[in-house]
Amino acid sequence: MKKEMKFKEILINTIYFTAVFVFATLIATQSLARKVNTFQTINSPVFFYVNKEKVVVPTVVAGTVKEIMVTPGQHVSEGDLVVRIDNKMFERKIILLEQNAQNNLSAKTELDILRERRDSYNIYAPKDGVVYQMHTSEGSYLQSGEGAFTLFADDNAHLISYVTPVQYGEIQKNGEVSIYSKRLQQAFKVRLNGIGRVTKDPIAMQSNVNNAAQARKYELIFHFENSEDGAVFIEQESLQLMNAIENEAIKRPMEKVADLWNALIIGGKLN
Amino acid sequence: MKTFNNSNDVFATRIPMVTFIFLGLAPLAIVWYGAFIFNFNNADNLFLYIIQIGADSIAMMVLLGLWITILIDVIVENHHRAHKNQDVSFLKNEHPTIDIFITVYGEPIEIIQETVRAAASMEYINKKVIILDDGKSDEVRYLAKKLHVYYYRRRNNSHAKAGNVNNALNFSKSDFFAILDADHIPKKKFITTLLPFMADKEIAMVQSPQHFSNMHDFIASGTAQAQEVFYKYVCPAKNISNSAFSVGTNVIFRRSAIDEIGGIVLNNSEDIWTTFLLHKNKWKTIFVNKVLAVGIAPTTIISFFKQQRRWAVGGLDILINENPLHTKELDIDQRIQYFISSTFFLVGIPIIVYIVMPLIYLLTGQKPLVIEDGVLWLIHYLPYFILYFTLTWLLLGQKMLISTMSTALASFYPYLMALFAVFFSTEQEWVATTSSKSNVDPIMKWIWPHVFLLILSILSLIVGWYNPIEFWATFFNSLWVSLNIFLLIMFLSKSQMK
Repeated sequence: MKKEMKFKEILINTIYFTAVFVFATLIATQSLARKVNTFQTINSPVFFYVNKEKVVVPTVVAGTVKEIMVTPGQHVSEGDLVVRIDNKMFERKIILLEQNAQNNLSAKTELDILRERRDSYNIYAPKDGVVYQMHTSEGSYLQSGEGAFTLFADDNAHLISYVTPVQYGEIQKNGEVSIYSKRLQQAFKVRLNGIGRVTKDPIAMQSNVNNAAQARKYELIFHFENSEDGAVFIEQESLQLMNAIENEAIKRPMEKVADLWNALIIGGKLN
Repeated sequence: MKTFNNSNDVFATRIPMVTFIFLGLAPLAIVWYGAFIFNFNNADNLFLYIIQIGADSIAMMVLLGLWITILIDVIVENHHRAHKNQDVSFLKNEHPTIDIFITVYGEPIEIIQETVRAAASMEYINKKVIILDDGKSDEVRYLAKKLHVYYYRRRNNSHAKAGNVNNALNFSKSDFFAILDADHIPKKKFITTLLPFMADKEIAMVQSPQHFSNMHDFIASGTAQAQEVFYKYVCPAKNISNSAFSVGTNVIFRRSAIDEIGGIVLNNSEDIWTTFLLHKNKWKTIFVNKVLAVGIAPTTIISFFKQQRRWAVGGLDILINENPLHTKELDIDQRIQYFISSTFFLVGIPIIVYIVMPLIYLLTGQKPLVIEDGVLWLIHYLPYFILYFTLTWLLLGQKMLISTMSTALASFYPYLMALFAVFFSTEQEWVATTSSKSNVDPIMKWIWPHVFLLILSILSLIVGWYNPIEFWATFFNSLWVSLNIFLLIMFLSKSQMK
């Protein structure tokens, strides 16, 4: 009887202890997981998004679009013909005037003027770039001054990045920043040009980051050191900050412990 | 140690000079710390802040209660105190009868034997020693026969010790009766020292201190310093306002007074409740600061926790169900004293908050106060903190023992249990301090919160140092958590489980 009581007592003690141990570990693991998430948000790799200069090319003359010479996505050089506006009426008028021009001085003057305007029925690309969007189609009518198409200029590309205050500090320390394009397998140098908006970071706020100031995102604007570099990129293409890629390899010891814990208990990946 | 008053008056407390530092320092430290924490600008997480200042308020209130008690003792000079005469001729002239009740409930027979022998050999002829055995042990009955003392075994065990004593009053007709726990061994002069005070017909109760001999056990030594403060400062000070209360043993009652209030109060904290009723009926009580019985302090965790819970239930019961500040029959000094003594047991709340708050920070980064570089907070907190750590030196001239801090920390659980019990009015089972029947429970039932907090504390140190956002806050909280870990480990490893 006494042995039975003793066993029962040991059993109850073990159950209590296990419950307490599991509960405590659960709480601590949960807290750690949240902290890891926050850490990854704060120290996540910094991405740069290419923003090209958008040029809207209008038509000077009003008229029906006769022919569109390019497709969206096509690269054009400065001076390439992009859109032809229907000039049938116009040409007929010129022929009429040509017939009258020998005798009639005003007709000749008008003819000269019209000949000068002939080119307006062709819309050319104003600079090198990639055609983004046609705002019209063959057979549509365009008002004078209305935009015919938009292209992304090759030059004047800049890069936008959204960073945390901590990352901003890091970037400021290095005057020149190197970024890397996975697509092109090539690194480029960029320079910080200015700060855009400062917004609240919803992810960081969710993870209950302690300091409200830490939960902000700065919009940073960069230019290519070499302005021609921008040409190879398409709008919104992303590149990554090179420094961050290097730093990921070096983790503080506590983070290694946390990773191990993660792997053991949550079954997360061991970095 | 130089003392304030060197008289041999049993009512005077011998206050060491160093205590005046406490009297000067305590309010300053409290106000200085309060200036920081009660300033809403310093609040961080509002929910935690409210909990923090709530806990701190209770701690400060308890400290101030102690301060007031000691201050009163210092201020009221001897000749202003109502002198109660220890009239030795009272015994010779009136030959009062006294029954000595020894309440027994399963204590080890060797201890009972010591107590009974000592009781039988106390100086005074007109006494009767009666063993009241709720343990229903034949061994004890045989012991009574051997030592030529009376033995009584009632039919049931209703209302535990209180019921036991009340039952005995049915057949006891003496003028006075004393109560001795089975593990409190009286000295020869117990009766001859205390009984003469009963010459004053207005006195209903004479109480002497509980003194413990087994100081080498961890828990026993842990409670020793607190006990000493209680019996050296708190109890004697209560004499001034006639609010000395019974602690259930080493006490003599006047039979007619107890009859007037309808017997010993049938309640698990019958000691304080009986005194409370006596005071309401305008009886006087006194505390005599002379060790006249030596007892055995609880050594196992379970018995210690049960004892603490019992005392806490008594105090909190009066506080919550009776509200001593508004009791009409008591005068203002008495009300304040009962209030101070019962609110002491709220100290379980600040203890658990102090343990859990740094854990919350290390796990979640949330904290009650803004601690930028730690300096401002530290400046305000340090004197208060030092006051706590030097309390035993200031009051007793002894350095603070680890066992004292450790057992005080661990006591949050029985105090909180008591708070719960009083709020939800559940019946408590009364168990004697050294009863062998006290250790039926599996130990984890009583220490699961401590084990839980210990594990969580250790884990939280790891979590807290993973990418710490604020270095100083993490650092200070880690220090605090480490101290708690140390004290918890000491308590769990050094105390006897069984």
